[in-house]
Amino acid sequence: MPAGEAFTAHQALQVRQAIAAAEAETGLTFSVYVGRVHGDPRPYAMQLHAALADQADRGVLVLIEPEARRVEVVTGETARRRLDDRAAGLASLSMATSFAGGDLTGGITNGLRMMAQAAARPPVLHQHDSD
Amino acid sequence: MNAPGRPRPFVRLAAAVTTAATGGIATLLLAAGPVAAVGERGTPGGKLSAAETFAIFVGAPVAAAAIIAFLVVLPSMVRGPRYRPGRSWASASRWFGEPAGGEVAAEAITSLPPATVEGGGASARW
Repeated sequence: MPAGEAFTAHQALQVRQAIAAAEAETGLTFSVYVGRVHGDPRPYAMQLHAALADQADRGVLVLIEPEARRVEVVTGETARRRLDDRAAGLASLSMATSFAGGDLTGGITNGLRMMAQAAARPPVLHQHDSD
Repeated sequence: MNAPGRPRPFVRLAAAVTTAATGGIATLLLAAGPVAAVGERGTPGGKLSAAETFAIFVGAPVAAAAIIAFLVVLPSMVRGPRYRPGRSWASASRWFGEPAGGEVAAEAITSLPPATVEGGGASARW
């Protein structure tokens, strides 16, 4: 990977379009960070999520660490009710598979689509455990 | 599929074009034969100069190889840089949907708000 931009203009546009589509579909705020992180990516991802400020509650932050090969999904308190940890885990696994094949843009757009689909379902307000 | 014995129109057209082209080329070859033979008589032309020899036997193959190599590399040049897992990552970080303040503001946060702490998420590695 040469120094400079990680994404071409076209790839960046694809990611922005995927974010816009996911936000329009779910009403949540999606944010994608791609870059190196010194130390554990998880706390850093939570810091980035907190930086969303008033959007953090409905925010979904995706952190991609290409060198440590880690993807982190952080959901806000309200966002978690729409996008539960299981759905976030499925999306992050799918993204990781694409990234392992070297496809950053495709992995991000697919992951966003998966999360949007999962969050677009009507939230389960009440569930019987005994059924 | 059509019934046998009734070829579709474009098949018939293709057959007609092929027949006409084959006939035309054969006629041209027959006509050109004796004419080309005339030029074969007589003394050969002058020797090639060193520069011409070099151009034909070195320059032309090198040029052909360069063109082929360029055509091979062209798609990846158009597609731009590609992420390769396992290689070091030298690109600047990129944050889509970056809030005001960006990374600097994020790194300054010391205590996480409840909206983040009460949230969830997942992680994966590859």
